[in-house]
Amino acid sequence: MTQAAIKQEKLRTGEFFAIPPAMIMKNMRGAFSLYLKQGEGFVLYTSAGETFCERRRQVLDATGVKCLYVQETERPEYRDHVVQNLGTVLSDETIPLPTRAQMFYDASSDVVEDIFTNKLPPTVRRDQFNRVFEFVAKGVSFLTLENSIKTMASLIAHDYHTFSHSIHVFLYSQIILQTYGFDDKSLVQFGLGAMLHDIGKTFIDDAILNKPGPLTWEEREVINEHPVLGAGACTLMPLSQDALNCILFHHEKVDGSGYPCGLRGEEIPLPVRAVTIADIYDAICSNRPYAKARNAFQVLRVMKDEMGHGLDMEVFARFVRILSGAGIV
Amino acid sequence: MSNTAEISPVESAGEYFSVSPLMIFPTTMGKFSVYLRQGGEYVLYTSADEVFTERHKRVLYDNGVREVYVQTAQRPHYSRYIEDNLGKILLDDTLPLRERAGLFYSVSSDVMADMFETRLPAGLDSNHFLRVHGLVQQALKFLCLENSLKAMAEFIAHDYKTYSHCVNVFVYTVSVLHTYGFDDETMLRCGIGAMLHDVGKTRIPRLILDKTGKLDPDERRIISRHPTLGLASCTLLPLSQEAMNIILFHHEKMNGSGYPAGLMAPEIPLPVRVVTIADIYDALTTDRPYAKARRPFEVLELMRATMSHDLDMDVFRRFIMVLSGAELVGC
Repeated sequence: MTQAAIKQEKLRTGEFFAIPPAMIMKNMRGAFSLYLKQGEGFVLYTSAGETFCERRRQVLDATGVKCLYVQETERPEYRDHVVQNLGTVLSDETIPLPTRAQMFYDASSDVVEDIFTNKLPPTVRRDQFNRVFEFVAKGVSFLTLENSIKTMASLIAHDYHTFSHSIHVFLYSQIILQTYGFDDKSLVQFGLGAMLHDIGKTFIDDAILNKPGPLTWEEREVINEHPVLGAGACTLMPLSQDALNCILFHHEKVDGSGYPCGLRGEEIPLPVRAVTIADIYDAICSNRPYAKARNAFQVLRVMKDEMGHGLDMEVFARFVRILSGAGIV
Repeated sequence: MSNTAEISPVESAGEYFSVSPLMIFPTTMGKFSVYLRQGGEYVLYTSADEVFTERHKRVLYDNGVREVYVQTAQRPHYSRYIEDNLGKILLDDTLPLRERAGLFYSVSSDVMADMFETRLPAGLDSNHFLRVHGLVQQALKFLCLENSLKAMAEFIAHDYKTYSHCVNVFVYTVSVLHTYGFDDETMLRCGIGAMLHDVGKTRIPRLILDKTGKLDPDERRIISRHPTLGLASCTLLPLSQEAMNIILFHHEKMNGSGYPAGLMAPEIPLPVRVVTIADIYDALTTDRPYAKARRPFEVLELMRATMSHDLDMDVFRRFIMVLSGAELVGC
C-alpha cells in the first residue's frame, strides 16, 4: 500500500481512513473501532474498548487483509495509539521490513502534513515547497533501510516528541538550505543530519529530558552528551561528513559559547548553522515542557533579540524571508 | 626539496644528510652546523654555536639554494630541533604554502622511514611495503591541502610526539586493514583517520597530557574530550565517515566500557577497532612522560592478558602477524 493509494481511499470514502494491520497488536485495547471494507461499505470488526485477541489477529493474517479502517472522527484516538506504539512496532522484526518502512514513511508524512496545516504562517504558499517535500521524501526513504529503521524505531519508542521535532527540523533546515544552490546529493545528506540531529537523546534519561524547571549543572552535563551519543548511534549508517557534523555540532554557537566543542563562526559548517536555527525555532514554537508555544513571528523576534549573537544572522535572515512568504528564490 | 629517496645517496656517502633551508629558523638555531654543497665538497655555512640570521637565510634563497646539509653525527640534535620548531614553521603564513607542504611531506616521510626501520620486521614483504608506502604518500598529499596543513601544523606545534605517534598508528592500521583485503581507497580514508586520530589533543592543555602521576577525575574528563575535540578541528577538511568514526571512537571498547559514547562491539566499525589496537601498542612501546617504553613482546603479552575484553581479538591476532612479518595477503 503506497501513500498515494491511501490518500485516494480517504477521498473516495470520506468518513474512514486506512491503517496497516501491523499497527494493531494482539491483546491491545484500542480507544477506536476497527472496520473492514466489504464491497463499497465498511463493517465493524472490533469496537472501541474491545480487546483485540489472538484469534482476530490470526483471521486477519489468514485472509491477507491489507488494510483496516478507522472512522475519521476517531483519528485523534488513533494518532495517540501511533504515538504510543509506533516505536515498538517498527522494531518488531517479525513484521516485514517493507511494511515497517511504509509505516515509518506514513507517520513521517503525517508530521510533515501537520506542519503545513498547523505550524507554518499563512503567508507561506504550499506550492512553493514541492522540492522541499521531494527531499524530505528522499531522506525519509533512506531512513527506512534496515539499520536506519532500527535506530529511528528506538528514537520514536523513546520519545515521539523528539521524532516529530526531528522531522520539523528536517523541513525547516531544508527550506533554508535550498536557497543556497547545493547539489541534490548534499541536500539529502543535510536532511539526514537534520533528521538524526537529536538521535542521541534516545540514550538520555526521560526524567532529565522532560524536566520542566531549570537543569542542574550535572543534568546539563548529561544532556550535553547527546550530540556525541548521536554520532555513536550512527556508525552503521552510511552518512556523509555533513550529516555527522549536523549531529555533532548542532548546539555550537557562532560566538563560541556552544557545546560540545565551542566552535566559532566559519568553523561551524553552513548546513550545521541552518540546522541550529531550525532546531531552536521549532523548540520554541512547539509546546515543549519548558516553553509555551508562541506564534511564528514572536518566535523569530525572540530568536533575533535574545539569541542573535549565537546564530548566523545571514542564515537567519533567509529563514525569516521565507516564512514571511517570499518563497524559496 | 628533499625526500627520503634523495637523502639516501648522501647518507651512503657517509657523513651528511640534506634538509630544507626553510627548516633553519632564524634566531632559534639548534646545536648543529649547516653545510653547503659545492662541487662535491661540503662547505661550512654556519657552525653550531653561531646564530643563523634572517640574512643568512636570504642569501641562501637569493642564490636558489634549496638544500643545505647537516652532519649525520649531529642528527640527534637536528631531530630535537625539528620537534621543537616544525609546527611553528608550518604555521608561518609568510612562507609559501607549497614550501611548507613540501617540508611537512619530507619530515613525515622521515618519520615514516624511521618507523619502517625500527618498528616493523625487517623481513616485511616488499609488496606490502610498497603498497603501504604508496598510501602514506597519498595521505600526506591530502594533509598538505591548505586547511589540512593548518590542522596538522597546530597539531605538530602542540606536541611533535603526538604527531609521530599518529604516523606510526597510520602505518600499523593500513598494514592490518590490508590483511582484510580492503581496497586502496578505503584504506586511504581509514589511514587519514588514523593519522588524525589524536588531533583533538591540540585542544588539551599540555600540563594534563604530560602529567606524570595518576590523573584525577576532572583531568580524566578533560582528556576524554579529545576525540570530540578532534572532529571539531576537522570541520573544514573533507573527511570520510570512516575517518570521522576513527577520530571519534578510537577509545571505545568492545565491552562498552570505552568513551566518549560507550559503544558496544557491533556498533564499532572494524577500522576503528584496528586503530584502537595500533594506538595502544604504539603508546606502550614508546617513551612517554609518565612511563618508559616497553619491549614489543612484553606489550603484546600485556595486551593479551589484560585487554582481551576491550579489544577485537581477531584484529589483535592479525596485528601480531603483521609485526612478526608473516605472509599476510588475503589471509
